Amino acid sequence: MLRVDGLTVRYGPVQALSDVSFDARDGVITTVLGANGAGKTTLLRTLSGLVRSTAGRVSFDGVPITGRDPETISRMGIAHIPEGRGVISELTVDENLRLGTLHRLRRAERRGAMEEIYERFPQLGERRNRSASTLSGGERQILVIGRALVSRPRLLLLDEPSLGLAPLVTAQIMATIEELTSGAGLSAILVEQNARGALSVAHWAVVLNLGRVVIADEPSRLGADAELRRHYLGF
Amino acid sequence: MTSVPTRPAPVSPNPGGSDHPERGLRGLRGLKPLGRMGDRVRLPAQPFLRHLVFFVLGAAFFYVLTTNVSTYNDFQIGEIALYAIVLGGLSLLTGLNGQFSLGHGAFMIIGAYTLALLQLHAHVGIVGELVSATLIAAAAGVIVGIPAARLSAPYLAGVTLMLALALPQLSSQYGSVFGGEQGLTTTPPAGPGSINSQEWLAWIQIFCALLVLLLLANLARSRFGRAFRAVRDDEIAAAISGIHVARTKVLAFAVSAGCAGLGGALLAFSTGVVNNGEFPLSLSIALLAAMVIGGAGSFVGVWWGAVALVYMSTWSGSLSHQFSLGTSAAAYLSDAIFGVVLIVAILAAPTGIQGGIRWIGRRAWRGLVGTPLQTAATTALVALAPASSTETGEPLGHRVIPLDGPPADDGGSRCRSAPAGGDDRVSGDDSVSGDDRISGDDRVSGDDRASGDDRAGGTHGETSTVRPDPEHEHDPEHEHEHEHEHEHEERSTP
Repeated sequence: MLRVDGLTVRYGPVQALSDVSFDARDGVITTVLGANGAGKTTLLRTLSGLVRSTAGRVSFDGVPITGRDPETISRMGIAHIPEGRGVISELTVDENLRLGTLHRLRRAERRGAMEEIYERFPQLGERRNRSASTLSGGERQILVIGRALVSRPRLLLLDEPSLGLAPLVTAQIMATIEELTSGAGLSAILVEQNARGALSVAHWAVVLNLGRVVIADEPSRLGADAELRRHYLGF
Repeated sequence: MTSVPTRPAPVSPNPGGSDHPERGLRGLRGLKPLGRMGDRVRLPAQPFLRHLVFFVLGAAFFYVLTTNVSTYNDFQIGEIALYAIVLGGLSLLTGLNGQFSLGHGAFMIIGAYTLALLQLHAHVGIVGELVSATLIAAAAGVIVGIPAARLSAPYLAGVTLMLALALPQLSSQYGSVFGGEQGLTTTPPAGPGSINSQEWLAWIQIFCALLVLLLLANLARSRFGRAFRAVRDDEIAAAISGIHVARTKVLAFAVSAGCAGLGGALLAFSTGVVNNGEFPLSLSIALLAAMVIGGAGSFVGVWWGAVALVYMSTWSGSLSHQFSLGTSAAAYLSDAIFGVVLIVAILAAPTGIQGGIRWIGRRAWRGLVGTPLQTAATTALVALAPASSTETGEPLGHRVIPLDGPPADDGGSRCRSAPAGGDDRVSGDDSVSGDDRISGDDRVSGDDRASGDDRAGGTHGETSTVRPDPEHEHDPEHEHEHEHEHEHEERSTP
């Protein structure tokens, strides 16, 4: 589904990603783990077009997306859920969701898609005409996920969805992600600090360290490797 | 998860409607737009219909006004109307889209010269002239907007400032085309029959202003309006939602420049001559200041800004006469006064006059909550509500109404006309959203869902006592309340 091949990103003299290659397969959750500064966020930002890569190729369903605009990539069905929310706080909850429906859905489908989101996340339904600035951190995260999902994407890029959230909310978000990917043709790349939680939902794990892929394997085998856990995963 | 029992289209009565809890006065850095050009529909009326009501009411108001004042006042009212167009465009650009322009005078020049040149060389009729002026200025807006989309605010201000400085030089440079220092003359349109030509021109200008503001208000409510605000708020979030950020910014610039072009063309009718002296750099800056004074992002506020713009120079003229200042001092006095007014406006009402009026209105209404006066007013509103169900929204400046009160005596208020009732009810809504604001803010800081909900519930309780009007079944607030309840049931079931 998403193939990353030799991706290299530099911020000036800093090499944020070097020669990163991996595949995110269809219908599964691929988690990207690593310490602070490993390049996880940069990886997602590059995939969604917010950061230009220095070298390497990314293709989505065989279509090269390297160097495309974020809006184009978004319209192709890759929904990026950035770290630190990214709701548009001047708009209401409803308007935020509508933004998500604009480009991927036909007019007639939009309302239904939004109602689906309100059903899935009732706490958004309660707040639909409130300014997004009044939402709590967890609600904002849910709103952003809702805004991504309402466009019926094919691939979700989730950047630390559990950051700063209560364990209960985190669990809800993880469960939602798991449920979504098990169902209709949605894949996800999940970047997490919380390695234990991420490994428990993921089907494939990529460990980054200082911008390089250390290992890519099945979560169960990564979790079993005590050395690896201690060095890179911190548990 | 079972679906929430659907009440009759809970959202559709309120498409994109907002209840922007965080309105009211913000801090200085706020200079933020009201954030909602009419994006608040509490009644099921279509926004377009609502805006149309404004249009009609505005037209009636101005018709009565212009036919009852002197010719010179007609001239001034016409000028106010044309500046309202320019300010409306600027308000869209800055208030909705967050881009700054210090050079909107330049787009006015383009519109004015387009009109003058067309009158000189081609005969396309007044509609053709005005449309051409708008389109050519909009095209210029695209040209400026493309680089502007890549610039952040201070650099954009610089570029547009340069435009305002450089463009007028063209007319001196190409004197044979643009008439040099003298400029070109224009012929104002002749009214049909015996209508006073000054009055006719004022009507044209007012009609254009109302029409443009109607279109702008609808644009602001449309998906383009949402895209404008999304881009203003967070470009990255907008981009990953699939909004083409650069294109959105250019569109805002083009629309805004088109408005300025139309305003410039209409100004050329008023002055009868187009030359650079008509469009000094100070005009561009005064436009921005007037927009801020009126309330960035408010299409009602543009009228306050336009009034300030037109009358400031008149008043400063008489003021300098009063104090027998020299002519040179008099020339600068209006700029100085304008600056002072701007500073005061920003300090006292960062959301502009319109924002200040809303704030005062809400405060006044809230002060009345629970008093016999307020109860009486509410009763009166209930009685009037069915008759005025189409009268919604925020009429020009009618937010002031709560000031002199929901009517002092019950009998009096019952005698009020239906539209007035409608207005009052709107201000009642204001008080509700004011309360919401408090609970909303609390919730943000407290980050405590449960107590937040409680508080919201409390607010709702208050709401229903404040406003037990028959409309409330369309009230989004109440819709939520109901869904909310369902939700609690649902949550308790698993």
